[in-house]
Amino acid sequence: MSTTPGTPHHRPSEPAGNNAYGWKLHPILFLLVVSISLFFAFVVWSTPVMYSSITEWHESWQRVLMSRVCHQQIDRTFVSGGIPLAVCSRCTGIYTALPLVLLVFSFFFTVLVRAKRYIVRIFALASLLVILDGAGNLLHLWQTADLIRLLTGTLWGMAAGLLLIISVTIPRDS
Amino acid sequence: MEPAQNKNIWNAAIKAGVIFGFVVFLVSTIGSYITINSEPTGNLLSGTILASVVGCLIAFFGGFLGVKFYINEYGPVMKIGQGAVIGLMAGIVMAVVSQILALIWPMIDGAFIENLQTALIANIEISEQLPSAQKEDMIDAVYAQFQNFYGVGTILQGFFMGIVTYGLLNLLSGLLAAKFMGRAPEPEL
Repeated sequence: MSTTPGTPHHRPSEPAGNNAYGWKLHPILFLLVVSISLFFAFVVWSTPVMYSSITEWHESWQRVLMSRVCHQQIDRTFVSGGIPLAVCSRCTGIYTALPLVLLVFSFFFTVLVRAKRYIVRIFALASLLVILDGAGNLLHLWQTADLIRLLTGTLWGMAAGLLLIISVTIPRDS
Repeated sequence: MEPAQNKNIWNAAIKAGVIFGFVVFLVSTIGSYITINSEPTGNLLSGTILASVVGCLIAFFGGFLGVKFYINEYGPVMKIGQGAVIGLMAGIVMAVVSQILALIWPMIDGAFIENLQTALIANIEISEQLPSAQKEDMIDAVYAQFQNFYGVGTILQGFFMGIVTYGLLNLLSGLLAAKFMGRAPEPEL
């Protein structure tokens, strides 16, 4: 079937998803993913606002909840007003970047779908960086500053956010 | 092709949840024994905490395994929402299984809780990361936490926190797995 170059509508011979107009975000799943990431971001940042002593912090539901996903070592955690955040500096980067990327890049999801293979590579690279830096710190080979940990975590969170946007992008006609 | 509504997602979710629930418990318990049998160093990054995190990183793949089991059983055609549900269910099963095992283990090793509490408190006592006033507070909090180990509130909190953390994380991993391992169904004409 012939097609006209530059036509904004998708070519009938191609699946609808092959051009910018053939995709949409799954409304429920996108909302779900954004809600989950915002929930975790709230949990991370809420402890200095809600608690005034280290005992309250230790007994807080935020610390208990996040203790399953973060070591929460106090000397590797950002502190505000004497109260640590609920997770370490690296995880702070992850849980902060995730909702921001989901919200900002949800406007560019068609571009992301086309760049899928690059985003998978970026995610793999960011994961490798986090694993290497984490392992190096753990084995006392080197000690990275909190800001570097924050940066590696942010990179990983951004890459994970981009992957999640791709995951909830579906063909418009489905 | 078998209609989508006849496909049972529970088999895959339960299998993945039980396997990863056991793995999470195992890693966590090994970490606890590392803490118990180590000399206190003052480093708050103890074996227990470390094992919890490693266990959780492993547990993140429960959603992937659940989707893999589903694909093995019914083929790759699935909606991404199904992947999310499988991941969520696998996470819930995982939390329940690991929590139940964690409650049973101290009955098998009667000195487990006391030894772990002693080891954790010894680590805090010689830690240089905390001011002394905060150290005392932290020790009190750890002591109270272990005294209430079998309290109804503590047990319910453990189940709830596990379900929230593992459930939500595996929901996301199930979603990713469905997208990258599965195949979207053909649109109905």
